[in-house]
Amino acid sequence: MKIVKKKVGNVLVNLVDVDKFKSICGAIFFKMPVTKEMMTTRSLIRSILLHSCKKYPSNRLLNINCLENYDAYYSSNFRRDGNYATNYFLFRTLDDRYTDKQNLNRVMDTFYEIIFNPNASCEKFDEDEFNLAKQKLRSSIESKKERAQSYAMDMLYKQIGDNTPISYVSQLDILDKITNESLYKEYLNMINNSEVSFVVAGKNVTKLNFDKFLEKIKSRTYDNNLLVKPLINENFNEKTEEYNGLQSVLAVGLKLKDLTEFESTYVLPVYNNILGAGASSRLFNIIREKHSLCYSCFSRAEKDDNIIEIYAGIENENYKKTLRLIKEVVGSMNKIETDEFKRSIIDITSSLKESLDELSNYVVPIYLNNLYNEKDISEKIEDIKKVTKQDVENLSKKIFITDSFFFKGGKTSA
Amino acid sequence: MRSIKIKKINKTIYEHTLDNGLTIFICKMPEFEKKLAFFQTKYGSLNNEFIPINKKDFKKFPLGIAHFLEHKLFESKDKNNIFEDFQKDTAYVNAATSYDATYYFFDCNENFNSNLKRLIDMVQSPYFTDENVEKEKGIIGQEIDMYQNDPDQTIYDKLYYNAFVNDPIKYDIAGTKKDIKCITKEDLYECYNTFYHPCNMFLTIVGNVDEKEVLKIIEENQKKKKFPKPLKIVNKEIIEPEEVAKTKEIIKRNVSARKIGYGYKIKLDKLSPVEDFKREFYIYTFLRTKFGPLTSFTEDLIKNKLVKSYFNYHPNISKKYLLITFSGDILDDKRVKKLIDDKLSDLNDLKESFELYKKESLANYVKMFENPATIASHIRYMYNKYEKLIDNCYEIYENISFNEYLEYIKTLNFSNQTKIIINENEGN
Repeated sequence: MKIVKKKVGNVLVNLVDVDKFKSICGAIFFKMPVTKEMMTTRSLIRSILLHSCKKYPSNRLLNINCLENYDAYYSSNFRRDGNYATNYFLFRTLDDRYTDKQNLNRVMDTFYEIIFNPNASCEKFDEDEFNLAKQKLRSSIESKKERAQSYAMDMLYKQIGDNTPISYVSQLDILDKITNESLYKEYLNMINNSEVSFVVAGKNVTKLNFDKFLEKIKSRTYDNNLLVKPLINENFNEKTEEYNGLQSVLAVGLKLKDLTEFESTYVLPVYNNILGAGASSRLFNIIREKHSLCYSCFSRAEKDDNIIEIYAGIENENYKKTLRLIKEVVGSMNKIETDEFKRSIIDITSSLKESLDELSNYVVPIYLNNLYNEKDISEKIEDIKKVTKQDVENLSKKIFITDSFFFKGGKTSA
Repeated sequence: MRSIKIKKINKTIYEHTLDNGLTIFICKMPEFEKKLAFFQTKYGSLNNEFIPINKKDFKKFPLGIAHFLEHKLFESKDKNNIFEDFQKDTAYVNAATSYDATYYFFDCNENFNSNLKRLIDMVQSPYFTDENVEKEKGIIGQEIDMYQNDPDQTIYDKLYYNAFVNDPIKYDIAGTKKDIKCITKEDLYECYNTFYHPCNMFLTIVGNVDEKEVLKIIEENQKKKKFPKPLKIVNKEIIEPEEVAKTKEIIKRNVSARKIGYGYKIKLDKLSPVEDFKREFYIYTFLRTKFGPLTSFTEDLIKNKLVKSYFNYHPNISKKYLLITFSGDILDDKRVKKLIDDKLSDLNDLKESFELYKKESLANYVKMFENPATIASHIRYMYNKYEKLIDNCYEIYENISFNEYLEYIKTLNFSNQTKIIINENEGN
């Protein structure tokens, strides 16, 4: 693997030569400080841009173009990392060993059209496209309770991160206020006021020239003030909401305080892996295997938000018992067994190595490495190995179990 | 060991069958870190009534037992946590059950040989006790609840249930909480002994491995074990009428908007593997031509307020039947249904999309070979369905003919239909 880093205008460009794939994959990233509104507006923008553009003014025409170009694939996503929001757009296509020679140029042209030449006129998007995107997002928000796990997690985020970016989710009241004109302004804001990065990976991409695509793009820089620091509440905050569903969902929140960079980058993944990141974790072994309380129970660490969330799908009557056991498991993390520690290091380093078998993992993770100022995967693997059992036990003193949200189902199944 | 050259793609898949009947496929991918092994039995939720090995009469087993058995094979006599053992050797292990297969797999980047032996030993050392069978019922009960909690999954499950009369495909793979309550360790052993004989199983290995070394490891492992003489597995012959079991059902759930699902049940004749492979292409291509991304069908439904926000279609192809499902938060049942029927009966303007989807299939086939997991899935799917690998898929796509496609589509009979309506609960 060979990475060439350069700047085209103000756009940071990473070209990653990797031989083992048959496709080329790339993405353009637009980063800005996050606002509450962005969770809703950016979702609409993504939906509209990916659906049609000026050159292909219907979804049908855009899709015909994709198939004509050997099933070229375009997608978009949004991520919030701490105090920053990133909208990114991806393309993926077979490289020219398997296509005609002009395929990549055509794919890049369409990619440019999708992002920078939307289906809009008179400073607003095509009215039908705007209404369609809005209707789809409205229904998705309205039906959130049908996705019990996702709803419970959102409610937990609200609880633990009130008035911080942790609590930001798409909202109906914000959606109602969005007009076609205001959304177009927000689109221009994204295009003109973001810190822009571009990453492409595939065979011989360092020999390719993307300057034509990049030269018109505006980019500015933002300070990297990433971390969100939620306040640690003194008393455990326990909330319950009833709904008429089958399965109850318990979401538990943990807050992290004063982690060093080494702890948040290297020790926290090990802590989380031992706590609840897989079928060898303590949560899995105790909540599922020993007490048969659930099918799925896991934890996830968000280092930029300084939180860990735990999820378990359970029966109503097992709520108290499950919460008690989760508290006990978290409490027991001040003592780590040598065996589980070693397994965890192996697990994390293996996942990092295996991630290199998927082409898209040479794209988004490289952007994140730049965002977090992190090392590349091979260096990361070496640094993870420097973590000690003592480091994990010490980290447990900086982790506090503070909140739970119980989404209580009412129906019983057959 | 037989070499199967994949035409147009510079790849070889090795195939070998051991004396005990176990078939092994190995595809070398030296450029990748990941090494995968799948150990699969041709036994799934549809094999629910059969003559257990060494018995004379048919026996009907509780629904969901194949999936239950899948869970229980992770249990070992020494009470070791098998997940931890795999993890120590860099492996992630899991399993899954479908209608016609159950497979156990791991992926790793180091210690492949020890992981492979562990996987084979795990699957070939069943250990069921009354206690560990009871323990699993709570866990699987929550798995069932998790899926049933989703209204879209309910639509899908109900369409299957009402479309089929006798075929066990009508039931959910995991069964219901009530079904799994009656599963005993004796049931599990009977199913295991019938379907987990090496001659009913196969191994698929993909990654940076040496095919001769891997084969030697498997051979030595199998030689140490004794298996009874293989007997023919006798599944109960199911006679399924072409008509649906129930044409309409209305249920109430906690949904934010009414949801409706339509199912079209179509009988599939038995064909040769290549003709069956082509038929799958015809079916997917036809439905995508009518309802997929090259149409504005869904968009128009939303714009015209016939559907609130989403509309899905899906062809579900099993050995004997095709069930096409349509679902969404449908506002105008009659008009949407008519539009679907009109589309299905309209055979004009199929040519342009046919050529585009042909191009897409060729591209996707090439892309499949840049991911060890998708190659493994392809091998498993082919062998489970056809008992052989098709080595010239690329050529088949290249030469697929529009006229043959059109002739096949003309034979589809869309008259056997079922419908599910999920209404909102009052007070929601």
